[in-house]
Amino acid sequence: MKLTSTRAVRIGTAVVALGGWEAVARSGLLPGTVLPPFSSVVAALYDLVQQSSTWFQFYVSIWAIGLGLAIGAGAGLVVAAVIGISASVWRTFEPLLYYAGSLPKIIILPVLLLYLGTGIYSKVGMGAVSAFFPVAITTAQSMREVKGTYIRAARSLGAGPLRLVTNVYAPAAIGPILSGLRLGLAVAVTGVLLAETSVASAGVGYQAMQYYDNLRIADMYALLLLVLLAAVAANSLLGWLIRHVTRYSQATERVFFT
Amino acid sequence: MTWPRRSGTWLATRAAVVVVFLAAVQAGVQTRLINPLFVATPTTAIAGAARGLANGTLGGPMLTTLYEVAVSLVLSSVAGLAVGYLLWRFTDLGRAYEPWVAGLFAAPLILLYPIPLVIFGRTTTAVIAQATVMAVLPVILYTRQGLAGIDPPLLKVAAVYRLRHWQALRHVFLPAAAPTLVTGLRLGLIYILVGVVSVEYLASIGGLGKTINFAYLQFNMAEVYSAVTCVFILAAVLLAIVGRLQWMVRR
Repeated sequence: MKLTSTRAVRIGTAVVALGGWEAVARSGLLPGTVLPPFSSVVAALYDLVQQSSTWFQFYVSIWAIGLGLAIGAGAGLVVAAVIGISASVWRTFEPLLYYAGSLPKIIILPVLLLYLGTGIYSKVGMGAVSAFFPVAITTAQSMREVKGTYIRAARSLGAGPLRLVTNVYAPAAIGPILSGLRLGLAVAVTGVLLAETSVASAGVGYQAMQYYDNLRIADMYALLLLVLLAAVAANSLLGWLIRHVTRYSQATERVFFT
Repeated sequence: MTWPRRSGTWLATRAAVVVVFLAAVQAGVQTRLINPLFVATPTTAIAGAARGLANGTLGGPMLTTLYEVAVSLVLSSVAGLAVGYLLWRFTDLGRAYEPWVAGLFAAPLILLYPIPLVIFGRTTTAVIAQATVMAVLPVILYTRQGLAGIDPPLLKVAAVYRLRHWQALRHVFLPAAAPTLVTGLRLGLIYILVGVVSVEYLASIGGLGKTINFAYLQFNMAEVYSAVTCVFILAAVLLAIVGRLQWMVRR
């Protein structure tokens, strides 16, 4: 009963919203360059997915996101392992990391463009800087929450700092670490694609700006829709993976970074 | 491993870390280990920021950015609190829409910034629209979550005192949900800062983001770093205010 009412509300909302979009666009109240009808966006989407050039732009962006995430998350894990192991060090750095992580990363784009050029590596750099903070913060935070008994037990058995990190902290904190990676992916996508809309010669963000500059607004809406769908799909896939990996652990998933 | 210290000592340690970092950059640039064409020394950046704030070349853009942030914050807070409340009050709507809101929140909505540009033109309104849309989602989610997470005994207390719905909301529900609500507002502020500065930079509209972009295009790196310093200051002050609010409602 409840399920059907939920579904009814959703279908009703979707019909009203899309129908309203179509009606307003067709009525001529707004110029077609502002709001193309929903049907023409769908038609543009159908064309886009059949063009190999669209998938080439996706390929470029995914490559930059992947490399950026790998570098940023790798650095984040190393930094977390260093500062997460001591409560004092963590307490000193936590607010600094939080604050730096909350800043809009776009402000360092000029510096990255100078150092890494206008090609793909400045985008990789944006992805890496974006992904670093959520990974470092969630990982270090979850290391601080590993039970003290585990650490004392490992110490008394003669484990050094490196063994502690690899054999105690890493397995105990795997769930939050993966959640951090998921957040890192989300912000890396944002960082890379935003950088592509600024100075670039390839990538999905670049393509969207090309459509915008040429007033191909329906194509732009369709491409952005495709990007959002892909991002949401990747995010839910990772969410499913995290639930699968941590299905035996008792710890509840928490969002530390925002 | 840890030893008891006063919070002032923590603050001093953190300040020392920042000072050491800035001093290292300063030394790196002055010894040319870091390319001085690409990176301005921290002293140049801070002096430039102070000068720009005093003579208005950075103060003006900073006020524009502050105005956009403030309007977005008010709009997204009012709309987010209202929608979050409605989604809590009418459970059918909440069940239907919450996964949608959460899904949108997980999507990189900042990429949609060409859409407000198309609709509102290259104006501060477009910046505000983009930031508001991004920030309203966490406020909705955390408002509903905060209200839904109220201890059931508190609901009973409100019923026992025969409070009207609005009285209960004002005296019982809102205070009980306040910590979660403020967390939502803090998230909203972070998204607004990102949205406002990014759109300003990328579309060259409005305040500090535009200043950074222009200075970069003129290869005026001292100005870039001075404007970035202003973004640091603005963000630090706003985040500190919301952090203070968070601390107050937790007590």
